[in-house]
Order: sequence, then structure tokens, then C-alpha cells
Amino acid sequence: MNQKLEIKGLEGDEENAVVKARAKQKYKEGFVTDIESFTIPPGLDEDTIRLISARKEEPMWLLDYRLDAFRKWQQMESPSWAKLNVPEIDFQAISYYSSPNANIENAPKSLDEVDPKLIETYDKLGVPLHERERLAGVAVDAVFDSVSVGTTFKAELEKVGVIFSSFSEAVHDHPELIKKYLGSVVPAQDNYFAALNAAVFSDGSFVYIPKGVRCPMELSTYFRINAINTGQFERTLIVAEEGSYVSYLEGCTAPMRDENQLHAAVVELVAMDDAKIKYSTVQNWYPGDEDGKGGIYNFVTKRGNCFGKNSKISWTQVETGSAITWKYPSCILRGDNSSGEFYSVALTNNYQQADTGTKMIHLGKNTKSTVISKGISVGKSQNAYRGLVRVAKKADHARNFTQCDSLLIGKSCGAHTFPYTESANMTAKLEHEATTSKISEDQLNYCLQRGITEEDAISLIVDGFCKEVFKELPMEFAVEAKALLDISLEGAIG
Amino acid sequence: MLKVDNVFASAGNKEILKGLSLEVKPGEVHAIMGPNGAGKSTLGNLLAGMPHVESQSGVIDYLGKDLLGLEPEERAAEGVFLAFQYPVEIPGVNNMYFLRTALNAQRKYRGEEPMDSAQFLRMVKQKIKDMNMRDDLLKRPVNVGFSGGEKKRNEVFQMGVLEPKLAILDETDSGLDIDALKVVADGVNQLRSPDRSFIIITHYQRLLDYIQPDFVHVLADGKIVKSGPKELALELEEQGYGWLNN
Amino acid sequence: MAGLITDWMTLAAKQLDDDVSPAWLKAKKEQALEQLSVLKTPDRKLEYWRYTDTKRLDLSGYEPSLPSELALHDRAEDCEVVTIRLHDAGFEVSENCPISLLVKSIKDINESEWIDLDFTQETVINLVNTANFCAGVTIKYNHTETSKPIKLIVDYDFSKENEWRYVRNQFQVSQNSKISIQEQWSSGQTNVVNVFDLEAGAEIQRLQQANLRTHQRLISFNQFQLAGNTAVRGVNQHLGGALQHHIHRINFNGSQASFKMGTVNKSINNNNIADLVEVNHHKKNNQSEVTHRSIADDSSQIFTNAKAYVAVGADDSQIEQDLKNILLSPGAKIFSKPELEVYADEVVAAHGSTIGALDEQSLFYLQSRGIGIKQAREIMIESFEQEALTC
Repeated sequence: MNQKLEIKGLEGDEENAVVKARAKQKYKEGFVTDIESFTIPPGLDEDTIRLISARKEEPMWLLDYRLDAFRKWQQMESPSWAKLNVPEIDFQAISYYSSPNANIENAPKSLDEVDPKLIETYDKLGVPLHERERLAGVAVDAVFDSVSVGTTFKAELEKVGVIFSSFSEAVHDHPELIKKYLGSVVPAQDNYFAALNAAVFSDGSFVYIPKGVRCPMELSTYFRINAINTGQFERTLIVAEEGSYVSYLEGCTAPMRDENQLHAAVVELVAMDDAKIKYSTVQNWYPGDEDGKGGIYNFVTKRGNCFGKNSKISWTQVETGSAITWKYPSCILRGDNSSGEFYSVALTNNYQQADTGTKMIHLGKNTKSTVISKGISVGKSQNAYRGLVRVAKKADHARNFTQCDSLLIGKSCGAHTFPYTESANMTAKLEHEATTSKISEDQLNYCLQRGITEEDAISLIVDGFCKEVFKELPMEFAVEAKALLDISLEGAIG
Repeated sequence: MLKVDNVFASAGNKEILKGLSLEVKPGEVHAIMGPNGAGKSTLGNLLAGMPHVESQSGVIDYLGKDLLGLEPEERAAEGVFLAFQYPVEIPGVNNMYFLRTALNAQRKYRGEEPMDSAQFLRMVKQKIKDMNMRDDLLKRPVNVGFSGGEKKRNEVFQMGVLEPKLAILDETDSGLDIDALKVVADGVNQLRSPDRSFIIITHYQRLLDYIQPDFVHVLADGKIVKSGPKELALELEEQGYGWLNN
Repeated sequence: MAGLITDWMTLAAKQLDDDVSPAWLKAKKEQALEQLSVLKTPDRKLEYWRYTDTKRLDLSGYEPSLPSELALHDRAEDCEVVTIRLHDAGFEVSENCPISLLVKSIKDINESEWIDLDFTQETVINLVNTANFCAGVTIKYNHTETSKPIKLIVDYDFSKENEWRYVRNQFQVSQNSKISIQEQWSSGQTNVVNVFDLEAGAEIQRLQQANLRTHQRLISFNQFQLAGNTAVRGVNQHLGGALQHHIHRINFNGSQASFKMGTVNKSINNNNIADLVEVNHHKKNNQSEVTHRSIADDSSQIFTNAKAYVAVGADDSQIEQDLKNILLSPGAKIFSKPELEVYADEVVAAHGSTIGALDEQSLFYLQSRGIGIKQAREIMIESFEQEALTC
């Protein structure tokens, strides 16, 4: 064989060893924490919303916001345009609030008071919350079912003026900020699941970076669904003031259960002049078993508003979990010279379904967007990229580059690409490229000839295929993401 | 013929030429050499009027006219020709048609009668023969599917047909094997005449073995830092451009 | 707008009353009518009509106008040119029509020749055709060794410019026969359904030349049924008009067939063109190549869509979609959407889609050779169109 084949991602032996070790395990996050909890009965009506709001001791304006959203939601229909086969969801069979503290008065005031079982849960998930074991340089907000159990490094962050707290706390401590920005990027009536979230959202994270501050550490939220028959509806809001910078990471897991569980989150980002927000997600909700039983239904609305001049929002996502993923992290490029990025790896196996992509809405002049999407379909799964790039009339010299590649592994899966490009400005330039193919036989044979097993070869080639996206992830996450990919690839041969 | 006087110019938003002066008299061949990024191509592009290459100050006089005040097509009709470093491909438009359109547009500007297709064909066939090029060049779409060498030859061929007064060759030698280099050099040498001048932009001395320049200039950091006779090129070949940093 | 569906249904009901069609055909029409009754007037919620100004389906306020200028794409060949002119009173065929080419009125179609088409809510306006068609031809072509190649020209020439004409044509090309078919729209508001049925080894060269007058409208639905070893080379030129909406649906029903089509959509003033091509790789080992070149000027808009579907097990499918678009004015809009839906793994599929202005570098190259900016633009546009016309 004299031709030289380039296989990306071969370097880093040590990294590969970690990945390998990690890949030996199956869905190791599938355990259940046995903990006393307070869960409201299933069912959804205005009283449910009043109950959630009361339990969180929310101000009246927020209750009104929720009720208004609920009324709107009732008038809406579940979207059917995605390439997804979604079983009918019985919204009355879901419990909308569950917290690990039976009694609100007993709620922990600091991390030291948190139930050891919860601390242990996060330890097992690789997210130690205790001071002595904390991940260096990463502040964590840990959300367990409907509530935040604690936030690390709060005091350190406060010193530089950065607010990082659970959403519920922020409602009490910074009502003016929440009032100003809640729903400013994703309005309550934006879509069916966003409206539902606006009505029943329980907890999530709030981040505020003041003018000119470069957040000294990575901020991270770890979402965990534990209770049975509950939905998780978290809300994240990040506001980056003029000239500030923040990198935010998000991870999610859930126990293995035969029942499907609903997760409908809303994430809103606001970037002012010269501000930069980097938002990374490793989504590893329980995907269901080999027969497609169980798993999380993940319907998420994520949107960033590049409000200021020269602002930048960058989304990076690695999606390996969930039975169904419906998710389009987007950027509204309003400020002149602002830019948006979307880097995505979505891997589906067994009976998983994913319909994911992005929207880049160019409103300001000289706005730029880059979209790199890598879809990998294995087993009997269906994986779709859906994207929209829109250039408005006034967005002079807007520029977009989109590349989405799909890889098919197996005879029974599907890979789909639905990109919409719309331009109403003659000085704009939009480019879209896509390919769909299976793993190159040449690459595979080359690896086999060098003595690499087929399984390792596939994992190697898939890693290479995703390289452009992985390099956008913070280091610790990149290793985790590779490992996840390897686990998810299991059974890809044969 | 051409007098460039203390020109400052930028490409995109980057300042490239920083006070460049150059005088070219009729019939002269000037070689411009220098390290990468010195501004050699920017000079060629500025003379031809490429978009986004703009002068901030300085004057360029060409045959008594303010060159920078002319549109690119007016400069061409006035006799300025740029052989591109990277000629663009124009699918679906054959070379013949393209050249005749160009020639007649120039003739019209100069108040001359257009050439009909029979006349044009005769002229072009003769040129092809004189310049030792293959005539399938004519039938193919402009530069589409051409190899690097073919594209460069096509540039020189166009120069032959359009018969400019001032020809600028921008790294026409780069990427050529020795045979192609000879064809290109022959083409240029045939066109040499007392009223036609050349500016030859090149990184290597190689092309100058075949085209003897009257002057060699070294362009570095947007300025001409040294000028001399053709022997300067050999000197540069031996020493490289490293001495410029000292 | 609200009345459109009702209008269509009223028209269909009236036609059915005085129709002398055979019972089976009446049944087909009634079935279409019934389907219509549950559908909605098309609007932007329907993917097929998402970027179409459906208000323009309404013909009131019609003014006569002159055709736009278009450089005709003519393939000069040594062949027999047979013309079919469809007009208000029916159709006429030129006298040189050979016996190998059988032409009859669509009204005389046999039940066995009828091909059912899959019309859904998405294709609602095309469904209207089934309920309402009353003009058109069925054509059977059987090439013989001795016969000269045939170029068939179908000319739509209806006088009433304030009334929709519903036309249905079926073209059946027998085994190993080759024919060239060209359609043109001289006048009238046309809603046409064409069915091309290619038997094994058959080949079609097809030219759809829709060079419309300012107030002319054309809605076409074109289905190609491709047996094994068939080949289609298609060129579409869509220019002008108040409304153009074209769907090409290609079904690969055998293997070793190829479909190559190039389209130029040129929308120069207040035009509205939608161009949708849907290739269904139902079977193994077929090749499709779709090239679209669209140019929007003034206040016009264009929607260009290429969709490829690859069924489970349809291995060795080769798919290429190449959509390039140019905006020439600040008031124009372009929507471009290449789609891939792939359920088989032995597939090589690629697509590209770009929207932009004329390439600055190329324009400069032309200018630097002495060509004025206006002519340089014209040459660049011509070059751009050629990529689709010569594919």
C-alpha cells in the first residue's frame, strides 16, 4: 500500500488510554440515588404552577410570567416538522417538581449541609463538590432533579464580580437582572417546549459577568435526573457585559429506567459589545436500551443573542445520549461585526433519534457564522442535521460557512441533512457543503493492515471525523467526549 | 512611461506598500524581486486596479495620465496588462470568445474598428504558432481544467494577443517546469520592443536566465531597498534575502 | 385566498357534471376532489410552497404583457422536429409525425395507461390538476432502427390569460427508444402535470423552456418513472413570469439508470420562481446529478430545492446536488435548500449550496483585460448559466 492515508486523531497515547479505560464501561451513570425526596403528584394545571412557584417563594411577577406562558402553551401544538418519531407525551402523567429535600425549611444553606448521599452521587459521576476534591479551575452548579444542590467557588467568583448561582437564588438575589433578561432571547411563546419550560421551569444556573471581566475559571452545571416519572425543566441564563468573557460547560446524565422521561430546557445567552461566550455541552442523558426501551426525550431551546458590536457566541455540543434529541442552539447576530459558531458531534446508536442543528440569523453588518456538524448514525438510529442560515436585508457583507458531514455505520440507520439558506442581501456570501458516506474502506483497510482491530479502527476513524469539533472543547471535556463516543459506538460492527 | 512616486498602499486593511518609487522607460525590462510578503504582488495588483488594493498617498503617472484614477478596463485599454499569479477560471466561456470580447472592447475604447471573427481567428492562429502553443487552448473555457503551467501559458498568450504597452508578470514562473518556463520566456522575449516595457515580479532568479532584465530591484517591507543591473539577481540568488534583516 | 380551494372544487364539480369521460376516469377525478376537500389552501406552512407567493395564484387583475428576453438553449441536431400545439380547442400535431410516435388526446386514455401520482397536502395545487384537467395528450414512442431521431416540441398556447388551464400529458417511451422532448409556453396560465414513463433502456433528452411574460404563470409537476438502464438528460430554463412553481419527481424503479438535470432560474424583475427536484433512489445502483443555477435581480425571489431520498438497501447510489445562487440587486431574495435523506450505507452523496454576488476576482480578471464592468457582468452571468446548461 503506497498511498498515504491521513487519519486524524492518532496522537496522544495517554489520552487514548483514558478513553479506552472509560470505554470498557457501559452507561456507568445509569445508577439511581436512593434518597428521600419531595415530589409533587403528576399532573399539570395552573395549580401545579402555583405550587412550584410557592415552593420556590417566587415573587408575583414571576408567577404571572409562568401562568401567561402556560396559557400560551395550552393554545400551541407539539411541533411535527422534525424528522422524529415522537410517541405522544402524556403531560398529565409527569411530575413537574421533585427535590431531594422533603422539607423546604431543611434546605441546605451551604455545601457542607448537603445530604452526603447527594455529594456521593456527584462523586460517582466524576463531579466532586467537596472543597478538597473540587476540580481545579472549574466552578460547578449541581442540579439534582428540580433543584440546585450547591454551587462551588461562589465566593471566589464574587470577588471579581461574577455572579454564578442557581436560578432560584438569582430570582431572590438579583431580581432586576432576571426580570430584564428572562425571556429576552427565547420568548415564552417561542415554541411548544419553550412555553412549557417557561411555565414549569424549576431550577438551573444564572451567570452574570460584569463589564470588562474575564471569568477566571470555567463555569459548569451538572444536570442530573434521578426521580422516577419526573420531567426536568431547567433554565439557564448567561449575561456577558461589555468586553467580558466566559466559558461555560454543561453535562447531563440520568439513571437507566424503562420509562421515558422528559427534559425540556431553555438556555438564553446575551453578549454585549465585545463580549464572548463559549458554551459547551456534553449531553449524555440515558439513551434507552438496545431495544429502544426507556431513555430521555430531550427537547431543548438554546439561543444566544449577539446583541453588541463585535460580540461572539460559540456553541459546541457533543450529543451521544437521549432517546430523542430535538435541539438547535442558535445565534442571533444583531450587533455589527458579531459572530456565531456552532460545532456539533451527534452520535446515535440503537433506536436513538436525533434532529439537531442550528440557526444563524444575520441581522447586523459584517456578521460572521461558522457551522461544523458531524453526524454519526449507528444501529437502527436516525440522525438528522437541520439548519437555517438567514441573512436579513440590512446585513451587508454577512458571511457564513457551513459544513455538515454524515457517517453511516450499518445497514439499518439513516443520516439526513436539511439545510436552509436564505439571503436577502446581495453583498452577503453563504456557503454550504455536505457529504454523506460510510466509513472509507481504504482507511479501514489501512488500519487493519497495520494490525489495528476493526473495533479500534472504527473508533479511531470516528475520532478523526470529529476532530474539528473536539478541538473546540475544553481539555477535560474533550477526553470525556471521546470516551463517550467510544461507548456509544459499541456494537457498531456486525 | 511609468512613474511611481512615493506610493503608500494597502491590501484589505493591511498596509503593504510604504513609500515605493519606481520609474520605467519605454522598452525597459524591470525585475522586481524580494522575499515573501514584501509587497511584490500588491504592486502588480495596484497597477492593474484590483478591488481592495488602495493607495493612501503617492502618485502613479502612466503615459501622462493619473493611472490610479482609471477603471481597470480603462487601464487595460491604455495598454496595461497584468499576467495574474493565480488566473481565475471562467466556466462556460471559451477562450476565443473571451479574447475577442476583450480585444474589441479595448479597440472600441481607442476608437478603432472591431475585429470580425474571421480576422480575429487568422490573427490568433498566427500568434499561437509564433508562440509555440497548442491551439486547443482556444476552444476550452477560460482556464477551466488547465494545469498550473497551462494557466500561466494562457496568460502569456493573452498578452501576445492584446499587445500591451506595459506588461506586468506576477510570479509567472512559479510552479513551472523548465520546458514551460522556456515557453513563457520565449513568449515574453518575442514581445520585447523599444516601445513596450515589462515589470517582471519573481521570487527566484531562474526566469531571469531566459529574460534578461535591464534593471533588478529588491522590494522589502513595501519599499525598494536596492536597485542594480541584472547581476544583482545573481547576487541575490547566492545570498538569499537574509541580509535584509541586518 | 380563502376561496381558492372552493373555487377549484366548484370548477371540478361543474366539469364532472358535463364530463363524458369513462366511469373509471370520473372516479379518479372524484377521488381527487374528495382529497381536495380536506386540504388547505397552500401557504408558507407547507414545505413545497414555503417560499412561494401563493397570492399570485389569483388571476384577477391580469394585464397582457410581453415576453422577457432569453437566449434560447438550442441543441442543433439532425432530427425530425414534430410539433404538438395545445390550444383552447384541443391540440394539433404537425404533419410530419411518424407512425412510431402515437399521439392521442388525454381524454382518450385507457385505464391501463393511467399512472396514479402521489399527491398530498404538500402538492395540493398539483392535485387540483387531477380533479380539473381537460387538455393534454398521451404519447407513445417506439423507436425503430430506420427512423430518424425525433425532437418533439410541445407548445402551450392558450388564449385566455385570465383563466387557469389544467393540462395533463403522459409520455411513454418504449424499450431502448430515444427521444428529445421540448416544452414551451407561448401564452396562457398553465397548470400542467407531465408523466414520463421510460421503459428499460429508454432515453430522454428533455428541455423545459419556461420563458414567461410578466403576468404569465406556470405550475408544473413532472414525474419520471425510470426503469433499469434508462437515462434522462434534462435542461430547464425558467425565466420571468408572475409565478413559476416546478416540481420534478424522479423515481428510480430499476438499476443502472442515470438522471442528470441542469436548471437555470432567472428572475429578473418582480418574478417568483420555485424550483424543486426530488430524486427517489428506491433501487440500487443509480446515479443522479442535479445542478441548479439561479439568478435573482430587481425585487424578485427564487426558491431552489434539491432533495434526494435513498431507500433502505438502495446501495451504490450516487448523488450530487450542486446549487449555486447569485443575487444581483438589493431587493432580491434567494432561498436555497439541498436535502439528503439517506437510509442505505453504500452511498456516496454530496451537496453544495452557495448564495452570493458575482465573484469579484473574476470580474476584475475580465476588467483587467479591457472588458467594461457591464459586459464583464454579462459574461459572468452567462458563464454561471452555462454550468447548468452543459451539465
